[in-house]
Amino acid sequence: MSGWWLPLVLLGVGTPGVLDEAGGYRFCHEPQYPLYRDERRWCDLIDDPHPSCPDLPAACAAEIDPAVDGGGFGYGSSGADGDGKGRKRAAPATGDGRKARRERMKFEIPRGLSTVAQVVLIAIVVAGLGLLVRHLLRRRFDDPADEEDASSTTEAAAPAPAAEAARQRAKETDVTRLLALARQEAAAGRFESAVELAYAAALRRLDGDGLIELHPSRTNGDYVRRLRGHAPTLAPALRDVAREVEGIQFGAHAATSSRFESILRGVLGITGRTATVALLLLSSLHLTGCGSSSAGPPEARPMLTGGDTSPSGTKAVLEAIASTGVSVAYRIETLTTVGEDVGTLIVLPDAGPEDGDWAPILEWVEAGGRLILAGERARHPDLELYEDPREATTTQLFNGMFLGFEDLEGWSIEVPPSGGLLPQIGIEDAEPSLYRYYRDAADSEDVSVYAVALYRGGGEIIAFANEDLFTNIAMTVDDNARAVAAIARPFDGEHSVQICTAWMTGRGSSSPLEAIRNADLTPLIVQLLVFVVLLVLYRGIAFGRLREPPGRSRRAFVDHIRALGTQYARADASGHAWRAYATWALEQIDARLPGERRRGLQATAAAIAARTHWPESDIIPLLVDANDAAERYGAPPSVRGPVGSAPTALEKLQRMAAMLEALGLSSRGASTTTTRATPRSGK
Amino acid sequence: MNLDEVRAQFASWMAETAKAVLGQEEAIEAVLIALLADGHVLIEGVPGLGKTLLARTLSRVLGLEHKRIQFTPDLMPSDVSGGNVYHQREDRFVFIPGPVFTNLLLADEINRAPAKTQSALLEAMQDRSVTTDGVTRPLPDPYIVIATQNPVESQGTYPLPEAQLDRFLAKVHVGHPTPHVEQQLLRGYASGFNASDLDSAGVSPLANAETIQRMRHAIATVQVGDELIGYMTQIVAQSRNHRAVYLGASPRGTIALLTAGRARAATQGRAFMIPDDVKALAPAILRHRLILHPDAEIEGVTADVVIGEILAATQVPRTAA
Repeated sequence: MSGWWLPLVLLGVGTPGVLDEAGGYRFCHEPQYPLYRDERRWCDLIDDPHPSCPDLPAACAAEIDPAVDGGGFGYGSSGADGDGKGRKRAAPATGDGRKARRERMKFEIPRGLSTVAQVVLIAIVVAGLGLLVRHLLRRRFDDPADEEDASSTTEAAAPAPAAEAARQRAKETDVTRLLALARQEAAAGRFESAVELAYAAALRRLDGDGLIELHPSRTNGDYVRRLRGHAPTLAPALRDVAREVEGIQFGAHAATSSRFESILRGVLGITGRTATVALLLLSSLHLTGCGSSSAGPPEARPMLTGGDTSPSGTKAVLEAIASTGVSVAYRIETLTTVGEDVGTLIVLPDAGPEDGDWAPILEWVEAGGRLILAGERARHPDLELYEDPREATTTQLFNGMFLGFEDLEGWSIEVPPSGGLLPQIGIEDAEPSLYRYYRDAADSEDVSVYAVALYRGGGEIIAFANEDLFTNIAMTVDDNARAVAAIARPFDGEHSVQICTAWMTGRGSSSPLEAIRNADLTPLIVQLLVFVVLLVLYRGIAFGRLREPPGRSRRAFVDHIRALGTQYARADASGHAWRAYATWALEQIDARLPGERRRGLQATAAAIAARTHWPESDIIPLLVDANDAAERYGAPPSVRGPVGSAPTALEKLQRMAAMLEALGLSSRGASTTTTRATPRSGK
Repeated sequence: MNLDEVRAQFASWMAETAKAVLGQEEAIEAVLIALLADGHVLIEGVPGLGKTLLARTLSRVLGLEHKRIQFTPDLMPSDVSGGNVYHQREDRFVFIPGPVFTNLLLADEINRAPAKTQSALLEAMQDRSVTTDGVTRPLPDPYIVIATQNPVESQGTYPLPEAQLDRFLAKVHVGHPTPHVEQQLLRGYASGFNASDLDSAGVSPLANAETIQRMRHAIATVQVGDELIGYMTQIVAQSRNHRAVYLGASPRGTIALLTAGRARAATQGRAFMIPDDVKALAPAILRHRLILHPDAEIEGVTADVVIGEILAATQVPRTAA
């Protein structure tokens, strides 16, 4: 033993004011709050009226609810049995209660279902292996044929140059392999191939990140323009690299080692930036998976305030300590080691190291830490304490017994009567001045020692007989809250305080793998991985990105008609009809009035007027237009004259038809049309 | 002049033109590239989009002598090319040059004139010379025709003959400006800009005929690899085999792709052509050289759609995909 145990008997004055209603302390604000029997032990110490916990006296005065009395979890199951055998709770009641709650909340897979899951997992693994073997065998036996085909193709074609081979390898989609291939080519002195492979790596990375979509018809300019819209910061980098690559590919720039290195730097800059994004993503996943327990210094960590607000909870303890300006939090990491940033460690029952190894913690104490064992029974030779078998009706503090706790003098600190503690070593072996107070306490018949302290190296260990002082209801009594805050305060006041509870400590994770293990998610993750591997084997790596199929719009019938009309108008269809009809009509007139047209249009008009009684002034313009149209019939579009309006052409056509009718000719030619539309004019 | 100087000169032209013509950067670039490639340009767009302003601004920026012909249905070929007129004092016929004798000819609304008059431009555009009464007279160098036409109004118009269309190196579409550009436009007018007075926009000449000649010499040094030649011929060949195309692009179209592509490379300071040059210019170079089947036109297929499909189906040389 490297130090001495000091007895501490607490006595207090004063009342904290931290148990406000907004904090969720219902036992202070509900007169009918059902207290467990063990919690009722505090009732004798509660003042009535109580300023900071106004309804607790009423809750104490209420009758015991049979539903919570002695059963379930919490203090009721132990601790107040009153068997009169000294320490009434062999195993701390609070820890047991919380353990019971934790066990009840834990989801357990039914045994039968677990077996089924294992069978399914094994079946998936076996099937996956089978598919893998089949895939490999098929490749093994299919390859020769492929190679033959390839060789025959190669023989038929001209020998592929090294650059062409590099381009074939550039179809490789793995960025790392492309970069490795590029370096290999560069090492072999084939810098042009190396450049193409490195550039392909950059494009593949951007494609994989969804920033561009590789396509054989797309140029480097297309990719740069695409990046300008989606990743403006990457566009200049890709443009610079593409310029250098194009200079080698299409210009007269020689592919040299220095150029390759320059391009490779640019490529790595592009791939590195996307890797940074991936790293950030992984980091965020890490934080999501592990919580904030181990992230950053203690002052940067958020204080965990989710503690229990029941009378036997610890949230008020945490708040009392925090109210002095000390950083305090529940510890979620395991107690295998304690960081240098921790000044005080409060260990509640059953929250000690899972492996029972207190050595690292004792080393931390010797380095200046303060360890408070609040009911925790440490199984270590230097920490084991004997329980005081004497019955006691009260527990008192002899003021000023702690070095450094002079402030406690005059304060009232009280806990319900309970068993006490005895140091492991005899008093006679210790320094008399240090054990004076213990001796005083031990000499008293009705007073037991509630706490003892042990100086060890630069630090100290304070052991309490139970965790009573570190509960919410304890904070309502006298100066308990102030005393707890003073006792827990680290030596220098700058280090943090951590509270270890059985239900939280060790449940946090320091790595994603540990989080998965703690959450019992390992089988699920393994199954998902197997499923993904099988999917990749089945579909290849390109199965992930889905694209909407291009939509096909259907036009309404009226749109087709409108388009057809537009085409007829563009093609001067009415003019074409007029020219064709005019040609035919003049032929009919020639047949009806032979030789008249050779005499001129004036004579023809006179002849027609004589037969039809139409005014000659109407006939002449019609014949002039018809003659002009007939001359241009069949001419190419560019020389057949201006496109006239459709109504004009149709009007002329109708007047010509009327004139033919008046002349006694059929206005509708059947098969006598002598000309046919050409394909071009037929539009 | 080296290619860096070409790039700098081209950038200054773009900036100067943009002082008067807002929001038409792509059209300006295409027109300037066509001019540097020693080609003629047909600008198509609905009225009021600044086609004429673009042509006038370019003539000012390029510092070239320019003339304008407003094409009308009664325009005669001699009104374009000029003709021999009897000179009483000298008792002989003298040739009066038409507006075609200039560096930059703006043929406004070219499809308003009959085919005979349009054809008067054919020889000038192709051979850079005019033949009148058996005498051939060369046109100034450089000689550039910028023609405009309105695609919507078809009454009283004479569609350009296919042969003449093929003589234009590029056909540029001018679209409506965005609301933002239109706001800029209004602000400019509100602060005193006048489209008929380019001085009010501060547009000043930045080049002359000699500058353009030197730039063209520099452009001639741009390299074109065999793979790119294969890429261009593949695109043009597909334009002849496309299901919607009645008549595909001619070899003149392939040559146009090459010359314009080299000019584009030079304007970006490159001594070599890349697939992006071809792909960026293909619509402007090919759209007026394709004649579509009537059924495709009725289905709403346009030349630009066909070119887009062709480009999407043609593998770019040395692609990593």
